[in-house]
Amino acid sequence: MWSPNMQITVSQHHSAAIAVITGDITHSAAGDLQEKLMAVLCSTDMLVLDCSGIGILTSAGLRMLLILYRESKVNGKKIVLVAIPESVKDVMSVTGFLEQFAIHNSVDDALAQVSKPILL
Amino acid sequence: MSTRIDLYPTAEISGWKVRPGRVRPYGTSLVPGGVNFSIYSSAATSCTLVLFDRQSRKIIAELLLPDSFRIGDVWSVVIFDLDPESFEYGYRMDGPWDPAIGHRFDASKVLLDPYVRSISGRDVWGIPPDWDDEFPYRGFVIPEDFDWRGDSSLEIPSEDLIVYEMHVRGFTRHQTSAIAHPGTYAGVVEKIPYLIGLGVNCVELLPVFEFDEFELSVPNSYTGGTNMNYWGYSTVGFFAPKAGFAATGSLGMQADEFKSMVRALHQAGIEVILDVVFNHTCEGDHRGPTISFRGLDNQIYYLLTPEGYYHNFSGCGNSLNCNNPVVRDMVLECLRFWVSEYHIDGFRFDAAAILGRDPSGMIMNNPPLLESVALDPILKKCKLIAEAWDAGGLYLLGKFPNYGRFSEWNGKFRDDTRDFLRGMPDHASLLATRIAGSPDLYEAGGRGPLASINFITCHDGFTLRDLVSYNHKHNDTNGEDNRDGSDDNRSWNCGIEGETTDKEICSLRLRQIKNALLMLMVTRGTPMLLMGDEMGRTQWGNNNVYCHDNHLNWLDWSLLESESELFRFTRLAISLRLRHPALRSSRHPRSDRAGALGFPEISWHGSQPWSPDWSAESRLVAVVLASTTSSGEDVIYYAWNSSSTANILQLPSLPEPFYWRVAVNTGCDAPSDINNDDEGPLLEPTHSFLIGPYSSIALIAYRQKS
Repeated sequence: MWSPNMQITVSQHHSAAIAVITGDITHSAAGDLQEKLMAVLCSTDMLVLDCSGIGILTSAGLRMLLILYRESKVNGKKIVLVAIPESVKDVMSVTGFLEQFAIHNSVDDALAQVSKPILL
Repeated sequence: MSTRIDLYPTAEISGWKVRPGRVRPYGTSLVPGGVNFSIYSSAATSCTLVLFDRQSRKIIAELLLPDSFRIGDVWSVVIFDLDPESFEYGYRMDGPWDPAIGHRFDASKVLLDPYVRSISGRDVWGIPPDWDDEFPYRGFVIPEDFDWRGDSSLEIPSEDLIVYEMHVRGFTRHQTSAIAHPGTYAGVVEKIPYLIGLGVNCVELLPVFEFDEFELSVPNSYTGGTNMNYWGYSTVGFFAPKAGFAATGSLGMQADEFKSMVRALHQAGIEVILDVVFNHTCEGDHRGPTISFRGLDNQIYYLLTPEGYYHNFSGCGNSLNCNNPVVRDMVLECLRFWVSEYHIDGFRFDAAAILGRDPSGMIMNNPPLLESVALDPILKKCKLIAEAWDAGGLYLLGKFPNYGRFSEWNGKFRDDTRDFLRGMPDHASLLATRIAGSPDLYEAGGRGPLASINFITCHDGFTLRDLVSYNHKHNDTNGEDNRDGSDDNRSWNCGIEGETTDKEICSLRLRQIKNALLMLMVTRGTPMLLMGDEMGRTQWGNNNVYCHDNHLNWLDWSLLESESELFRFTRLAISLRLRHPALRSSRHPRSDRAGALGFPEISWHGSQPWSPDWSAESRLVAVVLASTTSSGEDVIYYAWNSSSTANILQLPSLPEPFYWRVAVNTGCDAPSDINNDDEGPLLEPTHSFLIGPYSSIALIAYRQKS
């Protein structure tokens, strides 16, 4: 359950960065991931997190994402979660996390919003 | 770079970097770079912190804390570089084994921290445990950083409260609930629209502190299966929510899920009261397991006999030594924790009389625990409800040490209303007393009717449907040859024991249920409805279903359709209460206090107006309640006839331009049994009213528009 198999790949699409996260986001992976994503966020206005490859998102993983999200708002940046697996989405929903994020079904949907204001 | 020198370790124990911790708060707390642990024992000679790997469940370290890490009777340590998600913990406490003087230390046991915030071991309800696991319950650390998004306790005035007593699992576990997360906190959220539609504004949850549903795993000779501790009146950890009630329990996220539930209920205008069990723990008597308190400080935590055995005022093997300062602090801290960390709106204290006993078991004049709870600033706005008796024979109904704060489950309301409804003699005047908010119990000392939680049924006993369907308990399925459960049910089966298709009997039963529900909703005090009574839930005559995780306890939502008439009646009866301030005053009504439309605040009537019949044979009670506030002209007449014959009521006259309008007549078929305020028929001024056998009515003084 706690395997440190998390990986991240980042690509740029106009003014948005797209980060594809795969594996489990546990406490042991969260610190490293947070550092990497913060670095990406510094050089872009919008960060799209492609969550389709996430296996397990633990309490610490969720909290890391929320911290990142709050940080982005403070700095006038935008973070969007896309393609969250249903099982992960369900956990986020019943624990009250889901409603706190901007969510899109796919990367394309999210990118289509780049030029539009995002309601947070 | 760190800016504090206490963020650096000062020592190493068993290969772990540590420093002496902070003694408060007890339990664990996340600190920069590590985790702070703090544990109390007055008589232990050594303290070893045991760390387990959460995945393999194997011990990864045992840290014998040096004496320099102890201040007074409290050991504390900060461990650095500890991944909060990867470990679980417990303690070994060494010390004397001398039961005669109360010591039962056993260093072979790993003990649960009494202040632990989350417990693993029973993460998913009903998954059979590993019976060979020596340490089945382990603590783990969770962040306490929930974003409440502006939520706070609702502080609904008690006079406006409609309490719904329910079991988290039982509410939605039945397949007919048709929701995504049956049997869980998340499931409660899914059914919030139902609660709103019903009209209740408070849920009182049966125990949600971590307990072990497998605690009573004894073979059931009747079913051939195994009994369970379904109700949960046996606490493993007072600060930890029951993981098995969470859809996310297997992820250790029960605290977040619980808080989300509370927030969602608050958003819907529904308060959350917890049924809390501080009278005993899950460790039983001297034959029970050593899980926490027994091995930490048996002499402090439990009421012991002079021989060192356990006083059993709870009926569950032991009794918590609540008025010891250390235990008192734990209980107080626990309540503060649930109010501040979980936004809980109130507590119902199970077998609360024990909370007023001294270390020898005697009742105290001024129990410091109850005084502390009543006057605590953090608890100041929350509801405090006592079950004012215990299994040791202490019965404090009406005289529970309340400090102006505690209300009581009113057992006399339950008994007298049941007796009146089934037509027992000598109960007309007793019913009148209950209607007035039980001034015999609560007028002295100025407590008033809000000290009375009015209920006719609760989890313990018959459901309302069974109350009118069975003369006797039918507890064979509990596997104790029908010996368990109360024999004092004051029920009446209306002619046939149990389920029947006899139309007359079914009709009478439905009428009796409606009579009871009306009684609950128009009497002074705070009404409490049992989950499912609004849709005729049955336990098939079982009045003690503590041990069943099945259809005996699970709410069958298909009843909403088959019992739609009853649901409608309940919903409108609740609405009636909420619409009429005359029903919800916080004072006992008085006949010498002027009310609206020239009526006294309360007046009693009979077949003839102003002529009540209080004789032993009277089975008719009629009353007019009139509001005393200058803003309203709220006047309500209601009456119950518990005799087998109809009765003609001459109604008290109303001044022009008011007319009596029929709000309720349980003698009528639906939908005329209950009406919205503006929909019932208006009566002629000189009208007499035929009240049917075993029927009740409610009339509203209605201003006829010109």
